[in-house]
Amino acid sequence: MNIDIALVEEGISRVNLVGSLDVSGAQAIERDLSAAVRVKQQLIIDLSQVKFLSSQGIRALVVNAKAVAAKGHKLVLSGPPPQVAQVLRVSGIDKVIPVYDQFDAALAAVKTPAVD
Amino acid sequence: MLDETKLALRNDDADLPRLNDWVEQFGRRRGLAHDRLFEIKTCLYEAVANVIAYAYLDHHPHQIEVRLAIADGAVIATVEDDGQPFDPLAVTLRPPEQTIELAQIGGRGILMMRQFMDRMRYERRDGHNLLTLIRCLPEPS
Repeated sequence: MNIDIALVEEGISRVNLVGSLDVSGAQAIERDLSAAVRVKQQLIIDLSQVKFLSSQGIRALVVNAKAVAAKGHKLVLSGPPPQVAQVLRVSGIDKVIPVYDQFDAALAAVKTPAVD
Repeated sequence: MLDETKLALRNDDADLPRLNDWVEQFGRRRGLAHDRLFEIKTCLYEAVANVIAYAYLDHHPHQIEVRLAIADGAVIATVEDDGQPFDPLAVTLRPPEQTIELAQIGGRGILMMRQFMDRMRYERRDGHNLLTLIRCLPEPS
């Protein structure tokens, strides 16, 4: 799995994941994304080039989403292909991590202040 | 005649991509619909990854045998391992959480298998776990 992190605008980063978010992909996230989560603020995880999502990959997303939420920031998912979106639904992840079809919608969501 | 094929894997994460490739090949050769193939691939991956992660208390090499067959209008996938007994059908799943703060970190592989498959069977036989996953195929039009 390739992970590319780019600043979109101040305080917002886009994380492009390319490949399979399986056991080894989850390990790559543990290695590369978790460090970024410590210093970044709002994160948009772009799943548009993820071709396979396993429960280990979901675990990695949940761990990072929890870390971001604990700092009072947001982590959202963007552009999952249909089968990846199906896994997000079936596993119930779409109930706890917002999922947007389009990047622009994800960007608008992270810009919206959280409501207590 | 039963249309069955087998794959032997090691209890090593490095073998998991080979499993996915093999399932893809099985599905393509038999003209399985993309969605069905994806569901079977996902569930077999979850089943075997679970075995590799949790079934063995030692650090010795073990063989995990995976079988795929088409019979009685369904794809039948079987995972056989010689690890400690584990029945994924007996696991009580927690209700889904509504916030990321309350979300449990793991435990979603079994949920995915139950959601995607039509039936699952587990038996312990001769010191082996046998997990069978069954996904019905659509009626031919």
